[in-house]
Formats: sequence, structure tokens, C-alpha cells
Amino acid sequence: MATIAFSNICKSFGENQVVRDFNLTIEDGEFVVLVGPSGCGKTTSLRMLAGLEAPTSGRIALNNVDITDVPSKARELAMVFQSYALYPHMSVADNIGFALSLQKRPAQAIRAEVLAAAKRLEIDHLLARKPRELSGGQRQRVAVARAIVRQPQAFLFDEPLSNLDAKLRHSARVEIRKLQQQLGTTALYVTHDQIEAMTMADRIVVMEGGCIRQVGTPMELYMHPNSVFVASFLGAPPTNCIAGEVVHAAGSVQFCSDSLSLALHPETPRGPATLGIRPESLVPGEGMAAHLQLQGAVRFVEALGAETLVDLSIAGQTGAPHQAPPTELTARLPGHHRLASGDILPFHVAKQDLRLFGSDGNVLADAIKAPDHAAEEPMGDGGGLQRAVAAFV
Amino acid sequence: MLSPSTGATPNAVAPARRDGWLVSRLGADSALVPWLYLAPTLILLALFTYWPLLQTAYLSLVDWNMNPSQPTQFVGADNYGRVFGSTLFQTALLNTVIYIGASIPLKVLLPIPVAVFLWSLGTRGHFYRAILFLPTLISFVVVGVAFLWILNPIFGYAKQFFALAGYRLPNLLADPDAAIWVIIGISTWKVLGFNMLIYLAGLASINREYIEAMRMDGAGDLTIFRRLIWPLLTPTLMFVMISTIIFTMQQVFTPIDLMTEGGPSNSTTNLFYMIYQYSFVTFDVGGGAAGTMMLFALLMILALLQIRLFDRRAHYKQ
Amino acid sequence: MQLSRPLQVVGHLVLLIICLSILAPMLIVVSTAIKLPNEVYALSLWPDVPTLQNFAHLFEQTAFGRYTWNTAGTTALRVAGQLALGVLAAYAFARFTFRFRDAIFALVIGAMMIPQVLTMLPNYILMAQLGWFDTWWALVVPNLATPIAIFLLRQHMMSFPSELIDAAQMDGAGHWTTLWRVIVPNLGPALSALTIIIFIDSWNEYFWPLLVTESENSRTIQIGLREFLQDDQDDYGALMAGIIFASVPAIAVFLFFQRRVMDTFVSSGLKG
Repeated sequence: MATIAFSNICKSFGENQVVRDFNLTIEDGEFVVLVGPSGCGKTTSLRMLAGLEAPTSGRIALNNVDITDVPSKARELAMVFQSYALYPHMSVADNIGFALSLQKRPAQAIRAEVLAAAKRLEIDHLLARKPRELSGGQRQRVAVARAIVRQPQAFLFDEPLSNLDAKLRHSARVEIRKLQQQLGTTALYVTHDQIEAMTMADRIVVMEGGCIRQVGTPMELYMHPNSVFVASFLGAPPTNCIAGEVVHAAGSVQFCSDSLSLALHPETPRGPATLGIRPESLVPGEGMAAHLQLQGAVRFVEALGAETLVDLSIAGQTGAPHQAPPTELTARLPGHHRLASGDILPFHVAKQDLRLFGSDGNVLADAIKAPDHAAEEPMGDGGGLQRAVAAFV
Repeated sequence: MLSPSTGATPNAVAPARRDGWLVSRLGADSALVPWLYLAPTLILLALFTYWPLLQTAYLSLVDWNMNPSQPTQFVGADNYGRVFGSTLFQTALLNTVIYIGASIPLKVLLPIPVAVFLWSLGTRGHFYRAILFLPTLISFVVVGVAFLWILNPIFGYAKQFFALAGYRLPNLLADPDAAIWVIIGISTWKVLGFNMLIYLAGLASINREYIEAMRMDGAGDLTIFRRLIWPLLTPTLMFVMISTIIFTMQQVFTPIDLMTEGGPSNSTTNLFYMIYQYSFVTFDVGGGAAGTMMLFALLMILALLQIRLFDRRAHYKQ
Repeated sequence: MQLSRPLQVVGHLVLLIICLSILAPMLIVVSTAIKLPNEVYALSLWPDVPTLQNFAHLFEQTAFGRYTWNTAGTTALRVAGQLALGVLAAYAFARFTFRFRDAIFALVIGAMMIPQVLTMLPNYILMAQLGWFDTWWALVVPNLATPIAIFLLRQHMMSFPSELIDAAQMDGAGHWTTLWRVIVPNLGPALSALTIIIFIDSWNEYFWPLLVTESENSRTIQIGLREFLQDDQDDYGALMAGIIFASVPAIAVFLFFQRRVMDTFVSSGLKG
């Protein structure tokens, strides 16, 4: 088993710098997911670990041994490709056993290991078939079997589920994770799908534009995103982002947008800012005085069964110098709500669920005033109807 | 498992055991590797194509009869003047022009309407296509021998067939005015179907919906051909033209050698056959090489022409 | 496209005439080949007593058996050698970047433009110097580099899925193993098309064997036919049997792989 360390890795293709100063240490047995939009450099980083691309600068170490200049075939890593990359002219058994046969292992031993790997993935009845005779899910299993049969130092996954349909994807996620835990092999997994990242990872690495944005456990990143990018990338539907400005006026510091304003910590720097609210943080009803209170007009309701997504529009602030367009928010409500388009109802958000991000997109820690502990009670029904303009103490 | 000791020296870690000893010696990513893959081809091309080309240039400046014990004598451009002034060269050049001139209507233009018709038949034309393709497969030797038999002046089928019709067929291959047309006819027989299939490939890229649209606009067959098919087929036509010219210059060597040996009285010799005669019939190496260089110049001009036309063709496709 | 009625009639008529003029000489050849000597000069296309005696004659009176062996042997060596060298060179052009690559590729492709006649004198002298005159070496080795094969195989290799090559690398394969165990097995259609082209080209070759063969040691069928024609003008039955025999392999390949052979020739014609 293995630890992996990237230090100061940079990669350029000509003028185009695709990975910048990439630093990451992966512990033995850890399952790390690299996630980000396409072109963020995640696949290039994986391919540099695989030895399929050479870094422009920086070092990569496997078990504290520098492998930057070691050819990929000597790195003892196994990779599952997006297209599965099964050799079309070989049977399933030959595909799985190809690496072993290149190691000149005796045929008997190869057969036994191939069979064991195939059994593990429940594809032992398919060993004689050619890849083109398999379904997408079966091919994916063959690709995984081909990776595990070698007992590699680490597994590399390059979007291995993106060619599966949604149902299979769910079961494959679980299976890959289980398999990796049973084997205890270190894994680096690349995906653009934040659900895969959230559900599979021990740690997630969010990348954007060739840079690492944030590293942490799924819940850390979800609860405490350090930037607008991370906040909006993880979670579906994405975090509601409300653009506004931090203003210092008359002894108070406030975040003001077209539709709301919010008192902030006095030391918050002025300038443009973004307020982030998770859809599930928007709770119907009038909360405590310490909560952010909003008046939402229901625009559209998507009942998904277990939960309901509601598109709201928050009216522009009254008294604004010009009639601002309404702010659109999405709320995620549990179960089935008897809401219909046009309904107007109050929502509130607990203060600890609010995130404020500065003009550079990074989180402004401590900007939101810590709620009064006395006020923090289970949401009541009390309180009169408030305006969309919420005032805060 | 990688151990620290092997990791320190990457070359030692690389087990190039299945790459052949030479590649492993050089290191798997050595800049020399592609050259190893290329070496056999490059050596062969250098040895049997490019070096001989240079050597021919040298031989064109010497006087030699291919006898190793005979010294070669440098004579400068004499060979060129001698070959250029010879009646053999002038006849061969004229014949080459005739071969090419006759080929254009017969091998380049004639197949076009036939190919268009064949194209209009769609899949029903497959039977015709198979027959048209047959001469491509048969060697020119076979074709030449077969026609020698058919045109046999005494017992040949042609002779007897014309006799049935009451016409006395002269010995065409012995007639200096007719022999060249026999060769032209035979080479047309050989290449006609192939050119037709090339036109068909060109036609296949024309969207049939254009034709239906024109038909809806009330266009007749002739209009469709003139306004749509002909312009779209022009690049293919240019290609067929150039390849047919080169084919006609080179490939008729075989029927000439087999059926007339350039005769009667050099009436069927072309430039290729003339070079062969200089080199291997009279063993005049200098003359042969000089002729070769002149032919090379001619072919280069054709090749440049072809490249320019191909550029045009590429633009046309965009 | 639907042509008007009269044009259709004319079209079929012209095509029929062309096809007939293609088939007629072939029929005459076949008919002569199965005639007994006393009937050879008769006009009828079907002999009174069909016979295969001419074929027997061909092999008894001439070294045709030996010529066939020479042709088949050198053709087999050429197909194997030309494909192997083509695969190697194409791999270098398709998967490496190295200095002068494009210039060298242009030189390789440019060799297609240089007909054998232009190089025959020095090559003939070289064969004599190497002692290859009248041996299989002379028929095989100078023909082994095949620009058209390199061109076509390079095209196919460049469009080969790069993930498969990455996978082979991850599985521990070097260039050599990747090429022969992963890429080549998936080049089936291109390789079989080239096999057909090289086979027919080699089997039907005339010019070069005419220069470098002079005895049973290396003489091929095509040159054997020429010799037969010059030595034995009168035995037309056997001569026709000979040209049928010389044509059978190519036509057999065509009958088995009709569409592929036609497409191959047309497309290589378009590219060459």
C-alpha cells in the first residue's frame, strides 16, 4: 500500500498552463477525489501520477520515493479509464490478465488470479467474451477487475462512471468504494460529478483553473466552503448566491443587496460581496428574530417525492432608488409541500447557515455576527409577518 | 513495491525487458527510439530510391557500357546533347505526346458519362462494377499476351472475325501507323473500368438531395449534369487526368516490350521504353541516364502540377 | 437519381458494350486454353473436346512450377516484409515527435512519385555488385519500403484510441509490446487491404523482374510468360493456360473479398 505526495507540480502544454503549483499528500489507504469543472487540470494531475504525462516542474513521490522520472509501467499503479480502454481484440480474461502476462507470470497463476478478480466483481461468467459483447456496466466491471488483479500500489480512476446511466452509477459508486475499503488500497479518483465526490471520498480536492481551491472531508467542504466556487460547486441544487455590497454606514456594517440587508461584524471590509445560502437552509415560516427573514413568492415547484425544490423570488427592497429585479432563490423542503406558483410565504435562515464571500470569492470568516445563544431555539411559529426587507439586531 | 534504492535511478527501475535489448539499452524514452523504428525503411529508401537517383545524375555525365572492366569516361553534358538530338528521342517524345493525347478522351473523359449513369443505378450497378474492375486485377503481361493471340495476323480471332464479315484485317502490329493505336487501345481496356470506379467514388460524395431539389425546380438531365455534377466532379477529373497521364507514361512499358518492342521502326516507343533500350539493349549507360534525367524533369513538373491541383481540390472541398 | 427513359436505354447499352469488350478477350483466352491443339485455330468459342491438357503441358514443357514457386515465395516475403516495415515506420511517424519528422515523412511519401525506371540503372548495377542478380534477394529487398503502406497505417494509428495506448502503458507494456500486441491486432482492415494491394502488385510485377532475373532460380510467372511467348510462339493453348494460371490468384482474392478489394484499390488510387 502506498502514500502519494505531489509537491509543487506544474504542467503546461505550450503556452497553456493547465496545473499550477499542485501540492497534495495522500495517506495510505485513503480515497481522495479530485473534482472540478472540465479543464480544471484534474485529469492532467492524475495522468502525471500515472506517468502518462511528465510534469513541467515539481516532484511526485510514491512511498516517499521520487517517481517523477520513472516510466509509468514501473510505477505499479493501475488505472480505470473513462472509456474503460478494454483491448477490443482480447477476451475479458486476456484483458484482465494482460498486465500479468507482461510480467511473464506462469499461465496457471494468471488464470487463477484472473478468475479470483473476476469472481470478486461477479463477471466470472463473462471471461470468454470480447468487450464488444458486454454491456456498459459489465465493461466497467472488467476495467475495475483489470485494475485490482495486479494488486497495485494505488488505484487511479479517471471518471470511470461517466459512461454509465444514472441507476448503474449509484450502485457502481457503492461497489467501488466497498472494494477499495476491503482491499485497503490508496485511490485517487477524478470526476466532475460532485455527487460522486461527496459520496465516495475520504477527502475531496476541489480544483479550478489548474489550482486547488480547497481540500477536506466532504462534510467540511460542504459546511465550510472557503470560496464561492466551492460553495456553488458542491451540492445540488447549488448554493444560492446573492450579489451585494458590504457598506459601512452610521456605525453599523451591513451587507446590502437588491432584496435584503444583513448586519455584519463591524470589522468586515467594505466592497462587493456575495451571500451564500444553501437551498436546505431556507426554512418556511417566520423564524426567531435572530434569523434572516425573507418573503418569498413561489415561482415553480418541483416535487421529487422525498423532497421538494421550490424556486422563489424575493422581491426587490422597497424604497430602493430604482426598482431592482427580484432575486431568484431555490429552497429545498422535505417531503411534499402543498405549494403552488404564486403563493407568497415567509422563509428564514439560521445565521450559522449563512456564508459571506468577499470580492475575491473567498469566504469572509466571522463576518456574520454570531447569533445570540438565547435566541437560538427550535423554530417556532411565532412572530408576525415581516417584510422582505429584513432588519437585524 | 518500489524500493528506495531502485527509485533513485529511474533507468534501473524501467524494466524494458520486452522492448528488445537495443531499446532497453538506450532507455525507453531515448530520442533514438523512433529512429530505430524508421531505420529499415529509411535505409532501404536511401539505398534503392534516393541514392540511385543521384547516381543516375552522375551516370548521365559519363560514357560507359556497363562492363565492369571497362573504365567510365567523364563526358559532361555530351550525353544530353546526343540523346536530345537522336531521332529515337524525338520519336519517343512525339509518341509519348500521342499516348497522352489519346488517353485524355479515351481514359479520362469517356468514363465520366458512364460513371454518372452507373451512379444513377445505385446498388443495381454492382454487377457492372465487378466486371469493370476485372482488368485492374489482371497483369499487363497477361493482357498483352492475350491480345497478341487475338490479333495474331494469321489465326487470331480478330482476323477470323473480320473475315466472316468480309473484311481483311491487316497485321496491325506490323503497321507503323496502327501499332501505337493497338497499344493505346489495350491500355484503355486495362484502365477504363478503374477510372470509372474512381469517378464513382467522387460522385458518391455528392448529396443526392441536390439533384432532387434541382429536379423539383424543373431541371432536365442535361442541366443537372452541366450545372451540378460536372462542377462537383472537376476535382476528381483533375486527379484522374494526372494519374492517367503518369500511368500512360509508365505502364504501357509492358505491352510495348511484349508486343512490339518499340517497333515497327520505333513507332510505339515512348520515353520509358527508350531509356530501357539505351540502358539494356544497347548498354549505353550514359545515354540511358541522360534520358532518365530528362524524364525525371518532366515527371517533376507533372508532380508539381499535381500538388497544385490537389491544393485546389482541398480548397474546393471546404 | 432517376434518368429519363431514353438516356437509361442508351446508358445500359453503352455499359453492356463496354462489359462485353472486357469479357470477350477473357472468353477467348479461356476457350483457347481448353482446346486441343487441332482445334486451337478454330473460331468456335466452345471446343468439341474440352481438355485440361494445355495446363499439363504448361507444367511439363516449361519451368512454370518453379516460376510459380518463385512468384509465390517472393510475394509472401514481400507481403510480410512490407507490412512489417510499414507498421514500424508508421508507428514512428504516428506516435513520436522527433527532429526532422515532417521532412522525413515528406521524403518517404515523395518516394511514391519516383517510378522504378528512374532508378533502374544504378539499382541494376547494385544488384550485380551485391551478387543478388538472379536471386530472390533482388526481387524482395529493394521493394520492402512501401510509402503507401506507411501513409495508410500512419493514418490509422493516429486515429487509434489513445486511452488504449495509455492502458497498455499502465499495464506495463513498452513501445514494442504496445505496437505488436495492442495496436497491430486492431489494424485488421487496414492490414488486409494493404495485403491485397501488395499481393497483387508483387504477383503482377513485370519491369524489375525483367531486369534482374535470368534463370529458373528467380524467374517469376510474368517473366516466364514472356519467355514462353518468345520461345514457343505456336503453342497458344499452353500459353493461354499460362495466363489463366497467372491471373487466378488475383481474381480469386477478388471473388472472395469483392467489395473490400474494390474499395481498397479505389481509395489507394485516390491517395496514391
